[in-house]
Amino acid sequence: MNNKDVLKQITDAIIPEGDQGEPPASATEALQRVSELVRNNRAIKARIEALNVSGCLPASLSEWETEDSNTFEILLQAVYMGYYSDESVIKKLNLPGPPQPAGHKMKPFDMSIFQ
Amino acid sequence: MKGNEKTEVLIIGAGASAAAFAWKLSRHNFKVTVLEQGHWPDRQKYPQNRKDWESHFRGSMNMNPNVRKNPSDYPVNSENSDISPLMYNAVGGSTIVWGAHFPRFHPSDFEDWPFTYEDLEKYFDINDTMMGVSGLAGDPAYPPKPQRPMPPLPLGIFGETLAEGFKKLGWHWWPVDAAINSEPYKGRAPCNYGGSCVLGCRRGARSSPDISYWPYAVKQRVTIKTGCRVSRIVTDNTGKAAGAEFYDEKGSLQFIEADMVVAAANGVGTPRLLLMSADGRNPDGLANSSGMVGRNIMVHPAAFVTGVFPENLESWKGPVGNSLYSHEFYETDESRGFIKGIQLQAQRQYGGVDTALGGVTGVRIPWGVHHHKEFAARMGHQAMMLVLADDIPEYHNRVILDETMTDSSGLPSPRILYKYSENTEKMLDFGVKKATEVMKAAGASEILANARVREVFHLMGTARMGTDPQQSVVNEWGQSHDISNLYIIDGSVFISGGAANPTSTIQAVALRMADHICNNRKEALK
Repeated sequence: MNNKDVLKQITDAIIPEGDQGEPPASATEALQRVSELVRNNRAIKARIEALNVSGCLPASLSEWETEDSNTFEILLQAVYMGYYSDESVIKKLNLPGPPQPAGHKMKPFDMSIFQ
Repeated sequence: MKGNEKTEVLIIGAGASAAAFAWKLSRHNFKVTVLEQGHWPDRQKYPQNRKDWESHFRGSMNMNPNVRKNPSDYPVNSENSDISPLMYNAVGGSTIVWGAHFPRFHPSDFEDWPFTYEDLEKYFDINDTMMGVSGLAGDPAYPPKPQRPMPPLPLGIFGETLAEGFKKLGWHWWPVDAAINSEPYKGRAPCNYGGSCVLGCRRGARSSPDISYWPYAVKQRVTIKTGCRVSRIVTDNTGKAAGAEFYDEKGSLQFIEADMVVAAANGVGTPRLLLMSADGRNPDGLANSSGMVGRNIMVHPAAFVTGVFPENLESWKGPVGNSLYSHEFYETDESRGFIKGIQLQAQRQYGGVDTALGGVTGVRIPWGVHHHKEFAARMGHQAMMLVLADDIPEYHNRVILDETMTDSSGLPSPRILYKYSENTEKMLDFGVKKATEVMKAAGASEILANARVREVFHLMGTARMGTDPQQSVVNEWGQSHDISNLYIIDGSVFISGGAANPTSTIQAVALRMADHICNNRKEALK
């Protein structure tokens, strides 16, 4: 299994494909973020190399999270930031994208709230 | 020591207090020069139009200088302290990354001050006009205020839901005073409810002094020198302030002479500067014969309570910290087991990244097979309540100079020594309980809480004002008891911290001090 496949498996274990059509993390910018992270962070790289990806990956990730929550948090941040910044995810989940320049529509303050 | 430049009034720092102060003095033709270690913010570089906009909360626009590490920042050692202070260095100071919630202190907050709320009222009003405030007059928590310069911001489903919770409980609530435009104001655009105010406002709808006060002050010929980091205030052989030594943008050490030196570097930066300025005549730092410089640091101890609601509140719509607030528990009621009180301030959420990572409560969406279901239950369905507690000044809570940590110019970092008092712990616990009650009354089905927020804004009290030179650093006009031409005008001079966000009060106090100097020009520049 090459490195990219390993990272795909890891990101998809963190955010798998959803049953409402949500894309798996490996189909989003999460994969690129994690690839960059592995290139630039030796501790994360070592952790990933030590994972048993052919066994139960969620269990191995849980073990990592318990043993070394700091590095796991860095991995998780990369996956979450990449996933929820991805245009396909924003569109599919109908999320607020970049708030400017369009902003959002709101009704003016209504004094009837005091009644 | 002679410098290449001379000015009448030298202000160190270009934040909220300095802006109001300089604007007032320059209207009366004082020659004012400002040294600021940061730069003019470039609104077009604020990241809200970028798809990775939420990443910047954790990067270049993070409120914590130790995380942000911009070249103009100095690191703060807050190890072994209950709090880590938030601040920003730029023209506009920490307001560049603020939410712009703009309440005033209450009349009761001035109990031990040398002046009253009534003495400040006209300065509050001037300041509201200059900053640009949206709101609704008639708040029963305050003495009557004039009609706000702009109508209140919208509440949205989020705010209306929380208002119903307060109404059910019969508690005070009111739409906030916000330094955000609800309509076009003084050439600035109205808010379009993007909601990411604390990343800076690309539209200029959210006020900060770089777009409210400073442009007027500069027109009135105030000079702002950016990228200039002051290393010390220098005294002459008579003991008066002679000017300041600073590193210019190229890193060269310079000196500027001044008739009056004004410290406005915030509740951590100002005591740091005074302590760094120790000399033979002032071995414990300038203006510090009382030993009070750096002591009594107050913040707003904080907690967050998040309610998760069955219905979608669209809680990403609208300015993050500006919908409604409650001062139901602001005043002392000793039957609660503590003195002073709290403010409850509703807070919206950001986008998907922030929601997934847990936002202000830090309870992130779990990874794995249940991730999507949990995310759907929380995105847009969350409402946050910020509990701000009134901090009591305590002698042992203080800012000192760190012995080893320095900024990039080699100047000592501030070190924060701060522990919550028993009173504060009780207040925060009470606040979490009350915020939980209102969330439930509003219909929340799940409650998440961060009962002790470590990173806090609102730095006050470290150069307190008073009438007794042995117990205070400056008089009510910000004038040092020790050095007659040295003034301190920022939140450092506060005697109490209130439970309300302090910027409105900081600026009103600075305007009052400036007014006094304008009315006593000869004496002030003597």
